[in-house]
Amino acid sequence: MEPDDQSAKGDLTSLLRMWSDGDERAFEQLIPVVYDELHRMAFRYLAGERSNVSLQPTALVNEVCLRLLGWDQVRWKNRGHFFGVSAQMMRRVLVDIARRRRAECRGGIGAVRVPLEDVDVPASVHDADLVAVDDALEILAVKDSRKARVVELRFFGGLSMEETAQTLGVSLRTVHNDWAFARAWLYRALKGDGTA
Amino acid sequence: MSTPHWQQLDQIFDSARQLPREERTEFVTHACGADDGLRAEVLSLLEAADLSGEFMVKPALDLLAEEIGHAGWGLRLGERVGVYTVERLLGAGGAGEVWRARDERLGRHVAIKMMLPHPSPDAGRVRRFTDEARAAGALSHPNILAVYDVGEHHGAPFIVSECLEGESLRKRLERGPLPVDNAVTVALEIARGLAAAHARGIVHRDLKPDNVLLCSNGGVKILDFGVTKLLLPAAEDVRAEASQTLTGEIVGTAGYMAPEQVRAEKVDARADLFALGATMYEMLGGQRPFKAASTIETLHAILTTDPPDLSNGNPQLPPTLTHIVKRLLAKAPDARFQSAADLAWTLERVAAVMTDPTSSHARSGQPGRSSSRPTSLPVRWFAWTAAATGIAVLVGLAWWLPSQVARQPTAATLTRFTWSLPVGVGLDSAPIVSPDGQSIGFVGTDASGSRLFVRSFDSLEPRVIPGTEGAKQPFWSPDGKSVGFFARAKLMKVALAGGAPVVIAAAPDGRGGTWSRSGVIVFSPDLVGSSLSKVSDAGGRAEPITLLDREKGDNSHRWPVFLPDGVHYLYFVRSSSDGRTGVYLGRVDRPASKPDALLFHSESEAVFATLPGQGGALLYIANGRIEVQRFDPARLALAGDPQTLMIEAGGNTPYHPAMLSASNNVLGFATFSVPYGSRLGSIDRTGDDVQFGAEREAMNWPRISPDGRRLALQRIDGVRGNPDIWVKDLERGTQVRVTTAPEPDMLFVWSPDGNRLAYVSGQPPGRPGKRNLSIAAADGTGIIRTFPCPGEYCEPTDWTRDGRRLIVNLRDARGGDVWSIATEPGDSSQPLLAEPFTERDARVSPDGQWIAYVSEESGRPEVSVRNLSGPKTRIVISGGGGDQPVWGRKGTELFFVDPQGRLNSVFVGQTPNHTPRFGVPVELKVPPIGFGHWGTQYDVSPNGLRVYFLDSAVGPSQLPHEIGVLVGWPALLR
Repeated sequence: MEPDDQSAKGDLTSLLRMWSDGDERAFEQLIPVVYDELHRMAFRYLAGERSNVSLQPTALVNEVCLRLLGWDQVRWKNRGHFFGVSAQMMRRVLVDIARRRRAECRGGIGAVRVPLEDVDVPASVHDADLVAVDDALEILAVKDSRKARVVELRFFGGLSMEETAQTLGVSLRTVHNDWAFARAWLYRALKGDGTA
Repeated sequence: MSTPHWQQLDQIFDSARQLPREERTEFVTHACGADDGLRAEVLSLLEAADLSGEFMVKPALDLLAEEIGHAGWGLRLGERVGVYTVERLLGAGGAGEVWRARDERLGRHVAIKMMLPHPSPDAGRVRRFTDEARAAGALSHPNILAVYDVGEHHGAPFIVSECLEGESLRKRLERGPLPVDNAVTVALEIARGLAAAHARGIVHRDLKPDNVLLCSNGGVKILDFGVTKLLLPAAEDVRAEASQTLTGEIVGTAGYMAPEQVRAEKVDARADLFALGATMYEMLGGQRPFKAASTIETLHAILTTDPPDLSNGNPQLPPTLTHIVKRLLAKAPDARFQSAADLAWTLERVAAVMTDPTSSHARSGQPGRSSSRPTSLPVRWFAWTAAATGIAVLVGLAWWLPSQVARQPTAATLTRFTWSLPVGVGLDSAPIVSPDGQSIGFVGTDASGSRLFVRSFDSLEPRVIPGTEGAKQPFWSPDGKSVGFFARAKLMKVALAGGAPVVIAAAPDGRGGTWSRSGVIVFSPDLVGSSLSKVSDAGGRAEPITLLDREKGDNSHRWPVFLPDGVHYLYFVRSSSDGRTGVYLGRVDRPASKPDALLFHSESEAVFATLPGQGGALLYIANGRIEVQRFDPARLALAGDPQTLMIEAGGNTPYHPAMLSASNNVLGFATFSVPYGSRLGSIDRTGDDVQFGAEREAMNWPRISPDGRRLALQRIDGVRGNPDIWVKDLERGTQVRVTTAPEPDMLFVWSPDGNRLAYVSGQPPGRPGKRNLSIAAADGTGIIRTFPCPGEYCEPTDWTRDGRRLIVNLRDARGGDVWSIATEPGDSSQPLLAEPFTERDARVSPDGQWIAYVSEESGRPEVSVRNLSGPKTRIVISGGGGDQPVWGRKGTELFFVDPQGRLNSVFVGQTPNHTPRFGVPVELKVPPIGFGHWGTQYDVSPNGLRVYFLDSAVGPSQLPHEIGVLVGWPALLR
C-alpha cells in the first residue's frame, strides 16, 4: 500500500496498520465500516444460505473486505495480519449474534445454553455458549494474553494450528500447548466450578 | 503478564498431559512439591481436559450454525414467542403455521402466523415483509383482520393478529354457493375492506376464499394483508412450479390471480378487484371461474378465456350482478371497475335495491343508457344506472371523465369516481377543486419529497408544477390560472402556464390561504400564536387582519376561505377552550379592532360552495363524514339544519386542513386525513433490532446529546398545538421539558458540553416572520440567554467545538447562507458560506476543522465539505443529491440522506497531514429517513451503531393514494 494512496480504501489500510501497531482506537474506528457487512453476511450464512461444506470464517471476512475495500487476502500486509483482523471481527460478530439469540430465546426452547450439570457426559456442541466463552476469554486474556489470542484465532477465526502459529509468530508446539491449556481452562470456567 | 505461579501451572500441565493418564497424578504431585494449591489446580485442569470432548473443537461459526439448525424455525407447544405463549396449532400450510397463542401481557388470545423461512432469506426480504405487515397492521377496519404485532423468531418472520371464531369462505363454499343476498353482503364487506387498504396504497395480491374469514358473529374479515409479497411466489415461480409438477396443487391460489399477475407485470389495486370478481363468481355460481386440471392450464385460462356466463347456471341471478362480476373479471385492468370504493358504492345500491320490497331484482338490473352501447364510446368505459335510485356510477379509465358530464351536470345526475395518484405518490394536502370545476390540484409526496400537481378532467395524467418542491396547503387563484402555496417558510404563487414560483410573503409555518378576485390573499403565517394576515397577490407588506383572543385560550387562526363577495371570509379558530373552536366570519376591508364572532362550533374548518340559484353551502367534516350546512352568502347567515352526506372524508389535523373542497358541482375529497405524528424509533445500523417508542405524537428533529444518553426532541402539544423542546433520558426513560413559551420553539442543537441547547425561539413582538435565538439549560432549569438573529430569520444547525459560536442558517435575499454567531454578547456575527445560491445545514466535524453542509448551487441539494481554516478547500460528497448531513461522532463517517430518502454513510479517513479523505456513499439498511424535510430528522449514536429516526419519515406509504370525486353532489342535498 502506497502511503499517498488517494482513496478512502487507503485510509482504511492505514487504520488497519495503526491498529496492527497496537492502536486500539484505530480498531474502534474500523468497526462500524466493516462490521455492518460482516454481520449481514454472517447472519445470512447462519440463517440458511450454507451448503454442507462448512465455511471458513476467514473466507467470510475475506469476502467482506473484497466487497468493501476491493482487496483480497493476498493484498494484505501479510497473511498473519489478515488472520488477526478476521478473528477479532468474527469474534465480535458471532458473540453479538449469539447474544441476541439468547436474549430472544430466554426461557424458550432453543436457548443456546445447556447447563453442564452432568460432568460425566462429554461436552457436545451445545455447550458452546459463545457469550460465556467470550466472557471467560476476557479473564483468560488478563492472565495470559497469548493463550487468549490462540483461542480467538482458532475458535472464532477458524484457523488451523499452523496458521495460528504463523499469525502469532510462535512455534507450532507452543500453539498446541496453549490451545490444550486454554481449552481445559475455559471448559472448567464455563462448567461453573472454575477458580478463574 | 504471566505470574510465576501461572508459568508453573502451564509447564506442569503441559508436561503432564503428554504422559499416560495413570502416571499423571504422581508426576504432578512430584512437580508441585509442597504447593498443594498448585497441585489441585493442575489436576483440575487435567480433569477438565479429559472431559472437554468436542468442546470448542469446531469453530464458533459452525457451532452457531448447528445451533440454529437444531433449534429449527417452527414452534412447539408452550413455547414463548416474545410475550406470546403458543397454545394450539390451528392450521399449517406450505407457507407457514398458524397457532393460537396467549398474549401474557394483555391476557388475551391471539393468532400467530409463523412463516417458514424462505430457502434463501435475505435481510431485505424479511425487512420488506415486516414493513408491509406493519403498514397493514396500521389498517384499522372492521373488514380487515387486525394485526397486532410483527416480529422475527429465530429469523423466521411472524405476524400476530386477532383470534376470531368462524370459518373461511373456502370452507363455506365447499357446501355450495351462497344465497344471492348473502353473497352480495360478503362481497360488499370485502370491497369495503379493500377500499380502506387501497386508499393507503396497500394491495392484497392474494385475495381468495381461503383468505376471507366469515366470523361466527356475522362479520367478514380479509386475512393476510401485506403477507403476500413475501409468501406468494412470483408468477415465474408459479409457472416454473406448474410446469414441473402439473399436479394442480396450487390451483387454489392460481385460480384467483389477475392476468397481469400471471404475466408478472406491474400489479396495482385492480388485481384485487379481479380476485374479488373470481371470488364473487364462485359465491354466486358455486364454481371457480377458472378451473382446470393443472396450474398451468388454469393460468392459461386466466389469460385467454372468459368464464361461462354466471346466469347460465342460475337464471334467477339479477343481471346487474352478473354484469358486475363480468366487469371485475375483465382481462385488461382498464376495463374493470377502477376502485374498490366505486365497487362498494355500486354493491351498496344493489343491496339497497334487493332489500327494497318495492323493487325487483330484474328492474334494478336494467342496464342504463350508457351501458347499452359501451363499445361505441371513444374510451372503453362503463356506466351503470340503478334505475331505482337514479345514481350513476362511472367506471372506466381512472382519470377520464366525459366532458359533457362535467360541464352540464343536472341535478338528477350524480357521478362518483376515484382518481388514483401516480404510483408511489401519496396525497399530502386536501384535493383542491379549481374555480371552474375542471381541475383538481393537490400536493403529492413521494420519497423524493412533496410537489404540487394539477390534473384536469380531460387529461390522463396529473402534471407536476415545476419549482414547487416542498409545497404544502395549496389554494387556487380566483381565475384558476395560478395556485398559491406555502414552501420553505414562504407564501408563494405559481402560474400554471409556466414560470418560476414567486415569493409573496414570509410565512414560517403557514396554515392555509385564500385568494380574492380583487387580488388580496388572506393567509395564516404560522403554526401557533398567529392571527390571519392579508397581503396583495403582487407582494408587499403583510398586515394582520384578525385579533387572536389569547385570553380566552385561542391559539391559532387558520384555513381562511373567501366568500364570493371577496370581502368576507370564513376561518377556523383553534382554541384550548372547547366552546371556542369553530368557524368564524371575518372581513378583509378593515383592520380588526376586536375578535370576530363565532359562526358555528366545529372541529373542522368549512369550505364554501355556491349552489346555483340556491345561495350556497358550507361543507365540513363531522365524525369522519362530510356534513353540509346551507349558507346564504348575501345575508351571511346559516339556513336550515346541517345534513350528513354518507361520504367518509378525513378531518383537519395540526398540519392539514379537512380533506375536501368543492367548486361548482364538483366535490373532491380523500377518505382519511393525512396522518401526522410519529413514533421515535431506533435501529441497529445493520437493520436489525428495531425499537419504537410507545406513543405516536407530533415530533420533530431527534438530536442525540454528545454523551449519547439523552435525546432532544420537539414535541407538539396536542391541545394547544404548541411546539416545545423536550429532552429524553434514553437510559431511564424520563423526560424533561426544556422550553415552555407559547410560541413555537424549534430547531435545536446541543452545546459540545451537553449542558445547553440553542434553538429558534419566539418572535419579537409585532414583527411577524422574525425570530429570536435562545439558549436554554438542557436539564429544564430555564433559559440562559435570548438574542436576535443577525437577519430576519435564522436557525442554529451546530455549535463550534469550543462552544463559543453557533453555526446558523440565515435566510436572506439570496435564499440562505451559513453564518456563525457568538453565543456571548458583544461578539460579532460573520458569514461562513455566502455564495449567491442557498447554503444551509452546516455541521462541524468532530475535530472542529471542517464543516459539512448542503449547497443548492446545482438546483438540488448536495452535501459538501469545507475546511474552516487555512486555504479554502471544498469536497463534494453526494453526487446524485444529498441532504441532512450528520457527522459520525468518531469522525470516521459522514451520514446524509439521498433523494430516495435513504440514509447513506461515507467513510472519512485521515491522512497524516490531517486532510480528510472520503469514501463512496454506502446505503444503510435502515428505514427511509425521507428527503426534503425541514431540519434533520435522524441522528446516530456516538458509537456509530444505532440510528434514531421518526417513523413518520417512513415515506408516503401511509398517505391517502386516492382522491374521490363526486360530480353533481348538490343532488344529494335534501
